[in-house]
Amino acid sequence: MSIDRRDVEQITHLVRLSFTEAEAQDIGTQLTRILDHFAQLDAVDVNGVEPTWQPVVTPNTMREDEPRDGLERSSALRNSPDRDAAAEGFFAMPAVLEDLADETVIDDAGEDA
Amino acid sequence: MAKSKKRKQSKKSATPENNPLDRFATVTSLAAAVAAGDVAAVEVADAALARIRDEDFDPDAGGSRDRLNCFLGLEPEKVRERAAAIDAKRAAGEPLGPLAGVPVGIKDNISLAGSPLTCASKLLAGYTAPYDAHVIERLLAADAIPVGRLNMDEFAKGSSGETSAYFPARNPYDPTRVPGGSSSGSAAAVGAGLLPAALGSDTGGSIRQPASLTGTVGLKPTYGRVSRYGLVAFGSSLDQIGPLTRTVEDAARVFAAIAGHDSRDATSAPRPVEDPLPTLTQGVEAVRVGLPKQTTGALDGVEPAVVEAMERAAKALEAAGAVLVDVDLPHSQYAISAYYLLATSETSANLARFDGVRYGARRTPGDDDGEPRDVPPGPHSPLLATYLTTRGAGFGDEVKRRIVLGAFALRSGYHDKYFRKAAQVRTLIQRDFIAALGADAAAKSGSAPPCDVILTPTSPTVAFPLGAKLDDPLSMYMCDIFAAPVSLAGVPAISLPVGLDSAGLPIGAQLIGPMYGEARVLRVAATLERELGRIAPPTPAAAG
Repeated sequence: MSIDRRDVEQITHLVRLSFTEAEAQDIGTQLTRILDHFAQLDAVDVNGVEPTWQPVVTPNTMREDEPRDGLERSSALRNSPDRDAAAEGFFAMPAVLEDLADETVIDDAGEDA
Repeated sequence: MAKSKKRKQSKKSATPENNPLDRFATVTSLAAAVAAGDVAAVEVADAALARIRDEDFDPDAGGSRDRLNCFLGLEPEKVRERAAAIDAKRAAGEPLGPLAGVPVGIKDNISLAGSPLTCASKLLAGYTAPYDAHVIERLLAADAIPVGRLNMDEFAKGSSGETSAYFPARNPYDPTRVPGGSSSGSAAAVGAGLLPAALGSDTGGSIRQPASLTGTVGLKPTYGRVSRYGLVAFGSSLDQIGPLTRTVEDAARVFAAIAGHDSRDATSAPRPVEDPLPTLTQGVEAVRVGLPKQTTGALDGVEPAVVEAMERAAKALEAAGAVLVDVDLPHSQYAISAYYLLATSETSANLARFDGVRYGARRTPGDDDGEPRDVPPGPHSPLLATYLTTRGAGFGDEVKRRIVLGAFALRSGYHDKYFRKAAQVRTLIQRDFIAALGADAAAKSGSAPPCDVILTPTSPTVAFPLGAKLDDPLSMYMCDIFAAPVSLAGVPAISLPVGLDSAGLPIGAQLIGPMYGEARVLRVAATLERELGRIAPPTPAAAG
């Protein structure tokens, strides 16, 4: 299994990362080496073996539905990168839609379609 | 700085461990001295702060970078206030907790309300934790004093401390070598005698491997034993917080203080914690110590000095009354692959939250480091461009590598081949440990498993030079070859120093128990520590 440039670009977009040109080349080479090692798993017979997602299966526990104090709003906003918005009591983020060029909109969900 | 040949001769004539102001005072002696009023908590705190300032990190000067580099931050006033409060409590006649006045270093991925928290990442520069982690609440309730933010691999991803975005911590036994990771600063600070204890976190070896490389004791508790509330998540099905100390008894004391159920962590084990202290001196008569054929004897990539140290450790346990038995862990050879696939998959999900919207150092295109970082290129909305730049410039190489690897393993079309397959292999690895050790330390019925604890090396090598593995991720991942199977199975394990190699570098042994068997591994470790004697500490001057 090798990770080529196209794989890196697709995954990079999915996980919201950006790379410099040098980083992008480096990561493809290294991930290919790592995946070559992981190919040792192909030899393991796991027929009928259930996967383990958690080492301990803790039974679902319920508590009384009582009101509890949460984080104070000022504490939650304390680390907001946009200080002006935080002072007014909310998070502000960059625009989702404005300034989009018209020809290309990368579809978040359609990468593997 | 050259290695000191005099290191091995640095035996001490007096008993500085019992002098509460000595750099190598134990947790046990410190807490007893403060509780008895033999020394004020403020004096203990001032002694620790002076050592840290003189040898490693001066908060006023911003820290000197050619030292051990254990600390990312330190708030001396908060430390002194806390110590004064403990002294006032004692003066008022109130009983003090089991860690009275003990300075405990905190890995910089554990939240301390009102203090910075960076995970050694540029992305979290300027972040202030809004609440205390469960372990911090427990330390405060035990009258311990949290001291400083300890260096680490960025977001706990690394086995050498070198992926820290700020500067790499160094090994107190040889500052040209790594202290291991990811709890690099915790291990180096305790090993150097700057602090008697520190908290680390262990996902695939991040407490045990640095403990092994720095001559310290590191305990990874059973998964779910210590609440993860307030710990920045790496691999949620693997992460555990635990202590690094210089003695097994000290590890038992800190573990006892932080373990126990917490309703805010849904995977926290709702069962009582057996106090490990009363059984610590009971020895190992008839205890069956398993030696896995996969990890015993000469192995590729395992240094001969490590193999010899394991043989000495096994003989010492046998001489103390233990029975050595062969066990089989046939799937442990697949652990690195399974571990890195699962841990990176969990990472790619857990680190999605660091996007610069609610917290984090937000960057927009144009205020990055100047290099174009736009792969794939193309027009993006201002929000998407901010995500790409914030995360692309804020995360370091290893963090990004693991996010991409995890996302690759989770991608449709590859999910069954990688992510699910790794989780199935995890089942086989867990079954190996259950077959060898039984399912649960508390199990009273059923046929007896073949052994009570398992002995392996912690790390295949002693501390390696800075830079030796940084450009070769796969060889760095192999540092976890003995630690990762334990993490996948969820069982507890301790690393303790069992000797020095010919260059004077520490070698650690790993003792593994069944689920909830911390008291058992601590008892066997305490016996081994008594039988072999403690290793010589590093020469403090090496830190200068």
